[in-house]
Amino acid sequence: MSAISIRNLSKSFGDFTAVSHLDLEIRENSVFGFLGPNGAGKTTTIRMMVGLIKPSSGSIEIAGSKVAFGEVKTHSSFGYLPEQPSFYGWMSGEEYLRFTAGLFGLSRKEEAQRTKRLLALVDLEAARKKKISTYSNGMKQRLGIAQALMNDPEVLILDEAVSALDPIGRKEVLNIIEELRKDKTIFMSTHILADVDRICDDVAIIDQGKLVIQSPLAVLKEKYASPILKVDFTRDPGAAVPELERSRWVKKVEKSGNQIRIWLQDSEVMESNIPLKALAGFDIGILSYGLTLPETEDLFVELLEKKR
Amino acid sequence: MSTIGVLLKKDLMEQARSKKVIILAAVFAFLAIVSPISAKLLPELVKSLSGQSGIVITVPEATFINSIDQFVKNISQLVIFVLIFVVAGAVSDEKTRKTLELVLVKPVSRTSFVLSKFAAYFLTISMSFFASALVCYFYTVSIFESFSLVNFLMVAALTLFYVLLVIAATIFVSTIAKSAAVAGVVGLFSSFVFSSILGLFSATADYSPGCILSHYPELIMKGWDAKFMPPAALSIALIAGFIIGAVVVFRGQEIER
Repeated sequence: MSAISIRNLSKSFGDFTAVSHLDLEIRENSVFGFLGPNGAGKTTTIRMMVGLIKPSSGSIEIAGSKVAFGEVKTHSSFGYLPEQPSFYGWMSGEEYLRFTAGLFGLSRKEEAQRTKRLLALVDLEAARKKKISTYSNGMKQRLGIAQALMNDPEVLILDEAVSALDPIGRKEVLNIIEELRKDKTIFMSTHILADVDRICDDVAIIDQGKLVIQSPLAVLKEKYASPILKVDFTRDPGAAVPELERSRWVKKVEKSGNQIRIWLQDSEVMESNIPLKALAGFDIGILSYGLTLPETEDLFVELLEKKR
Repeated sequence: MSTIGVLLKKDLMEQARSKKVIILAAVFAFLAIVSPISAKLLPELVKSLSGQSGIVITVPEATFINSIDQFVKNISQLVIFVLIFVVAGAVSDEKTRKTLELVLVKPVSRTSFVLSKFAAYFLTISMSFFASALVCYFYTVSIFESFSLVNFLMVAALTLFYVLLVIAATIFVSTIAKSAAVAGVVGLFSSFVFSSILGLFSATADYSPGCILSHYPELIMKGWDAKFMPPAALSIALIAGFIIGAVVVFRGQEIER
């Protein structure tokens, strides 16, 4: 059974179509990466999922219940955290969590127990009495995770939840997400592809409101990503790049300092040492030479380029 | 506790922490004390000034009616502006600060969200207003003479209906508008309409919610009259209309980033 089912979802704002005929199936207890360039329609999709905006057409089901704009019956089955959550700054972290517990109708005892447990989970016990307005962005994001977990939801929906954080804050929040993946379905949009590599099982890429692809990440990498040859030179290989780009076995070349990355048309060329022979002809010392596994970022760029 | 109870508790806490309650209490306390004092001292001040300038001005002796006059005028000409300023951001501030997002994705109906805003402000304003009215009454009685508490409370109740009507109109606009400033301006305009404009036309004058602002001496002296029923009923109907309107508008509103 799917934890989240999105069928033929569209959203238009006047003449602008933000999301167009989107279909997604997210399996239970998986971490799902929802990717796309800025303005692709990720946030619009998520805001329809959590009932903040109304779809123009299509349907959304979360944990078996249909999302209906203006109704709250699905709101107990998910937790939601946006990129920069806004809290009542005059409350303390503990007060906010107790307020959240009240909205879920928890008893006083449950409220106290869950607040204590969640403050510990997100490492905010020491700051629990401080006003939220004095919290750092990382602390606010951790509090955001705690409030999203108050109802122990089956599905956690995170919209760029770590994108605005510094590296330490990101690491802290990702560690928490990794803890949660054991018994929850996590739907996260992000443009930080290293995070996707680290924690996602499945991904979907959307562009201009339309689905480009949905697949398990590993399958996607195996099926779509071109092999990449990474070569480090003793000096700047800039002069070699135009000639390499004209070679039939080369798809694309990227240069960074003394390193170039070559997207191969086919990994077969490695068998006959065609790349090595060509590189040796440039008379620039080669420090290292080898195929690398494509990263999600490479895959992302390639798929979007293909589509466009 | 029900969801609306949780939201109401939060809204009341917010009023307390943001000092809005203190502002309201201070304004109403000022109103309660200054109205009788100014009614008492104004004629004496005028007398003393006329003596100094050599011009003789005959000033009638101040009575408790002058104190009530000050109380009602201060409400309609001064306090109402402060109240509009305080409530203008009731819903629009939550939208601009985006604090309502994390609330509305919980099992919280939009109806409860809006109703708690009305309830919180109605409660605080009504309690502060009646406390102030009672202080004003007893202070007036102590420095002038005794008069009917029941009649005074009827004046206070009708005045409060007018105040709550303007507050309801302001919160309604706060639900529609994206900024508190727009809600404030429309709230001020509504106070002008309800206190003055409706009274200018013979067809609407008898129903004008602000009629109490000019007819209070009659109610104080003679007690309840059926002619006060239409404005009271219209005020209550309009308040209910603004609340229902705010709920309907908010239920259909998309919350954009």
